[in-house]
Amino acid sequence: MIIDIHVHHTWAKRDEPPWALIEETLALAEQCGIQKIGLLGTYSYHGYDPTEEGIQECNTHAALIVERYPAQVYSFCYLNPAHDPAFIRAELDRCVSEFGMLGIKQWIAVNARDKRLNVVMEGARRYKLPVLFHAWYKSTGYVYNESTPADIRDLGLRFPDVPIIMPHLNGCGVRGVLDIQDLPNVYVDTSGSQPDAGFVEFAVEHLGAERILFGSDVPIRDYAVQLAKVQGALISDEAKRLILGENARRLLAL
Amino acid sequence: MIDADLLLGHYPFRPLPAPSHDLQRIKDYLQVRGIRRACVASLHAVFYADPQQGNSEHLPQVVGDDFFLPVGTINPALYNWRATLARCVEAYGCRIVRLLPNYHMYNLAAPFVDDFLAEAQRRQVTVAIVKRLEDERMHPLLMKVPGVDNGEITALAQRYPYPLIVLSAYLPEIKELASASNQLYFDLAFAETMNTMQRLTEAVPSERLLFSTHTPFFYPEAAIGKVAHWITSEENRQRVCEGNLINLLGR
Repeated sequence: MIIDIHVHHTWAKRDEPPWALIEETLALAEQCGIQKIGLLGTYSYHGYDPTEEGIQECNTHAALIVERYPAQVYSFCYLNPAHDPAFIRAELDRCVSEFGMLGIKQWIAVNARDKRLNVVMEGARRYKLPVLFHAWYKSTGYVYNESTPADIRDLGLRFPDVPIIMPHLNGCGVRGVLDIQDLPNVYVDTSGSQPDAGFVEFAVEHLGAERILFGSDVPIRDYAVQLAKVQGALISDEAKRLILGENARRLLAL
Repeated sequence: MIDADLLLGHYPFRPLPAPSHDLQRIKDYLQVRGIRRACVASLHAVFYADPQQGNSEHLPQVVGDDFFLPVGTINPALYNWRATLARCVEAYGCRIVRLLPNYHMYNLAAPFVDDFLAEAQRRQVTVAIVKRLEDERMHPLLMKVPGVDNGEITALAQRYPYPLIVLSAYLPEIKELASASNQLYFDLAFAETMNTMQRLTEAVPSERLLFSTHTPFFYPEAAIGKVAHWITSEENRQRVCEGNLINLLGR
């Protein structure tokens, strides 16, 4: 079973559900042998620092997509730690209780070292949810409050009992893998960037295949290309099986 | 499939898992994945002060091999470029040579580039311009090299009315260049979005696209997957995977 932990939906206009685009996404996933895709909310439409209304809208849209395609799609809850803690708790309760969301997504509204994250992480602990937190080591500079893997390390040390998914393995690179090597609660996903060779092999060697999850970053990326990072890697078939689906199945209890 | 972009040798900043230092093993590695020929250049020629030292390290080994199509690397900012081009064509049988303006620190508007292009055309050699080797966001901090500017390539195409190959362009860059000039050909390695080939061919005629893996930087499975999942006619797929490059080589 192949599970994609990192897909975005592109519900850009409130009254225009993008069903055709979502059906294309699902058809392409099926064509590539991917049985389940995880939605992490829209990228960029709500901006770097989304409003409370934007957060609610994004999560509601994700829930509507899951409701329509429950066999193929699950979703994470998108939160902005800069919001009022009472709102964050209520929105997380809504996403878990009403919509059955399986994790929490954090982008760049705040950096991973920001103490305002505590309410989000405590919510994750309460519901036993993993937190997928955008990170990258960029040699071209950073935007807004973007986190590096060193920032994720800080978060991982502060919340050792909360599973954290550090996405963009190739973008985090060798240094990123080393940053979180000794933190068993921090996973990486393979999403995003070009199909650069060697990073999956390095991660398997230094983290173990059990801490690596397949992600694509569709629709920015192409399922076939992103799968190639795992399928083309010079690692064992068992390691590929774990990365492509088994680890996500266990982590998300799918 | 014929691969338009294979590199031989080592990369200074990280080990690459494909056996790009061993001719027979890299041939086996690609053949088992369904690639029957590959345009091959020296990766060392990117970094040596004189790229001919990289050419001479790798290209003589592939002469006469029916799998490899040798591609010379030229730095026209060096005074020896005529000798290097002659060597590539006469000794190694190159039908394509490549330029890396931003790695070799010159602008495509430089007068010596026009001199080089005139000589390349006289010798009936197709010129490839390499936009990048890696996603700029992932460059080692020690060596940050911007991608070749689209404007430089467009201006060059206006001065040089013959086919040019643009290697390693991102999808939006390909779309922009393709609309600006109809003599440019593009490889697929860096082009990516959801349903890449469908989106790409909505904007760029398939006659101007070349299959490439960018091995050893990328896993060849990525490019193979792009064309395998492309819902199109076999004629189109064949054109992108082989026909367009064969036409360029035969011109």
